[in-house]
Amino acid sequence: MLVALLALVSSGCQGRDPDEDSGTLHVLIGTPSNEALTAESVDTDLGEFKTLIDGFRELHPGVTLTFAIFQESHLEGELQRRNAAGLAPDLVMLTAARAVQLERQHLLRPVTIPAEDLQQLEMQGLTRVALGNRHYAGVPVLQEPQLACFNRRRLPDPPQTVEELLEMAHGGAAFGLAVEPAHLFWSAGSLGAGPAVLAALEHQPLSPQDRSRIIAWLRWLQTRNLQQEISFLPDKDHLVNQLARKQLDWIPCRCGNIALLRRHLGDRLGVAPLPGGPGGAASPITRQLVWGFGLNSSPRQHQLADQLVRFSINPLTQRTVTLTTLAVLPANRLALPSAGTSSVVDVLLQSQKMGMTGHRFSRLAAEDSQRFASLRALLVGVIFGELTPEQATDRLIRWGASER
Amino acid sequence: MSLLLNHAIGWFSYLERGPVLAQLLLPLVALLVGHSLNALPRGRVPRRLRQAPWLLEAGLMALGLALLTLLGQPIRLALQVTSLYLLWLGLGLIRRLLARMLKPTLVHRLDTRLLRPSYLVVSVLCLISWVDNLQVLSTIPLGRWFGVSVSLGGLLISCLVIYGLLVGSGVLASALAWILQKGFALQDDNRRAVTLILRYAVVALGITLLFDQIGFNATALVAIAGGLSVGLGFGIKEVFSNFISGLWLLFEGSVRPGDVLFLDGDPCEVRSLGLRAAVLWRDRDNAELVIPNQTFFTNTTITYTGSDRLRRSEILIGVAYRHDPDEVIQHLVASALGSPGVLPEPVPRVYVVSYDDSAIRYSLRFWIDNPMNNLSISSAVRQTIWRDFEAHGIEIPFPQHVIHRPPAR
Repeated sequence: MLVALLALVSSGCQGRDPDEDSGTLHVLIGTPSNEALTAESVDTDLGEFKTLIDGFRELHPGVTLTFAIFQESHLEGELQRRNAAGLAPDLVMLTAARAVQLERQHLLRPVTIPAEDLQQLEMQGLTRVALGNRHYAGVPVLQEPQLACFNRRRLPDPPQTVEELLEMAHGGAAFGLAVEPAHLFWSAGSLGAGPAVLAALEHQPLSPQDRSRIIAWLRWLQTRNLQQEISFLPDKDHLVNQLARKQLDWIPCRCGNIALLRRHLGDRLGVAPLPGGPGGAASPITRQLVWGFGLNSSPRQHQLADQLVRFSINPLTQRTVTLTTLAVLPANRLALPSAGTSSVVDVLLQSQKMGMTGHRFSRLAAEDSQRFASLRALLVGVIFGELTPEQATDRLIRWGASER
Repeated sequence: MSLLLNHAIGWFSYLERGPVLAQLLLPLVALLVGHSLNALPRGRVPRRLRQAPWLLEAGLMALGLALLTLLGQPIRLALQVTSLYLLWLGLGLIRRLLARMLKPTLVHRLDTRLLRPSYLVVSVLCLISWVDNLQVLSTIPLGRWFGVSVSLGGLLISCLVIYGLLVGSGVLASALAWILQKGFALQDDNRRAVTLILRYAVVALGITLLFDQIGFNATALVAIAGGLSVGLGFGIKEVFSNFISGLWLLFEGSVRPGDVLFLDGDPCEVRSLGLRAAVLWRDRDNAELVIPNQTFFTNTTITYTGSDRLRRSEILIGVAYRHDPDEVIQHLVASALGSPGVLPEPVPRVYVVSYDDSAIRYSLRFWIDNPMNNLSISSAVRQTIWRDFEAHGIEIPFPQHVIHRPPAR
């Protein structure tokens, strides 16, 4: 029996002919939604990958691709369980921050990216998954910038600034915001508090001006909750659902939500960059999607996974996915569509450019981190009046001092 | 469906990985070795090991797991498969425990209808959850039925609910019927009928609510039912006729579980009244007769349990001419009353039926409270009569023929 076990364990090393164009690739896709998965949400989550996968299948008809979708917050537990059983997926589609987190926990395999690919990939995306020593937690594939989604019937022209947003709210339009740090951070940029908040999170000493900027941002959020036409909801899923049901007219959204909203609102769906303000442009957070590599793949599956990843970041594939879905931006610089390709793409490009500080924020306060939870509690306290903006700012600064 | 197929292919393709296969085969081989001990000659296997093969199985498992760990291979799958096997063994223990407390038929029913199916469902769901997301699988659409989009999860839950209704409604209906019996002082056979009617009602109501919950279009269902009724009229009218007959008999109360019917000269007890047929038990040879419900609906049925459970039995007996009929009648009545199972009220009666060739024929008529015991009680009465007549010199004449031959000339 022992001999048989040894033979079986090593059978994965022998595999089949590496030139043979067949095999099975297990792909696990992380979805940001915290709500229960439905047929519609699964279809939406798979939507961006269908174009990508269909192209790969045409090239490799003998390769079977299987998909399992999990909420990103469950990925850690799922990968731990699967790794211990030898059932880890070959590839995982997840956000850059999550990939780094999982690689640090030895749940994903660090990868090296060939020099020619490195030259083509967006530096921002690569920075977010860089581990040092020319290793990466994953390979950047797509970008999902944060933007504003609205109902054209109710709002023919979306607000360009936070002041316009207030005026339109006074005029009767229903606006929605989610009480999530990553979801509200765009407004910190509009009110000029973005760099100050980042400095606080990075434990840097803050000037009195920085402090007053953070206070002004938090006060703006607190005051907005007092307005009848601006609703604060628990999370982004609620926002999307309410816009789809026409209960809200304007929400900050991810381009991953566009397909679902388009299904419900049709031509009435409009997208625009998030509004700027007295402090400058908004600071939306771009969701960087990357391919992470599983730990239990056989040599053949490694090879197939590499092929799929290289196919995904190929400029032609990237451009096709961008133009077919009109909901994501490519990670490959050579595939970036030029301005004027379509109005949606223009909005995506604008939002991506605005999202420089957003990258830093998502790295500093990754979802599920202790800091994210504390920041959320702090925002909830301010928005619902339990904390004054001054108290909340002092608390934020104290965290930095205590962690320093 | 192609999506489901794609997922299923994905589950099995994990077997391509050597470590996965090794983990699955390890418990399997350990079990096979343990079970094959019994096949070996007695002398070649130590007695202790033969009595407890699990020792060898556990040893082999531990050895295999240690080896996999040393090789740096995953072992969790092997542990999970082993835990499923242990759960199966635990099920055996539950069965033994139940056998001590409940009747064997009830234990068998619980085992086949609840324990084993539950184990099967849990095991399959566990196995799938190791390699896939059950929540996503449940959202796989199977198509639009009656105007509603049906998903795999919805179908599975519906099947489980219907199965639960069919299996569990019996207990619920019995409990309700017991309460009604206590409240309205119903007889046992009425309680059985009420149980069956309640069971059909619970199942019908449950399925209707389930369809409503799923969102099936009621108009579409009615239209389909209309179409089916035509089909039923031609195709499976016998089945349908039996089903309706069964319901009618229950409502009418003419044939209910526990009733005693006279069938081909034998008293038979109605054990159950099913959707298609009734099951009757014949005491004479312990046979169970499956009779289509419409038989009772269209043919004459003789029952001893229509308004009460009393049966009047009759014994015919011949007594010699020399005995006074009054004296014989007294002895016969006393014998009947002295026999076990004969009711004192109504009082047994004896009639002079005829003057036969060698005896006066009497008819002894007495009442018993269980129609199924007629033969045994009648036998007991006959024995008592014989002993009584023997004690009092009363003759039961054997017919004698005397032939007179004229003297030869």
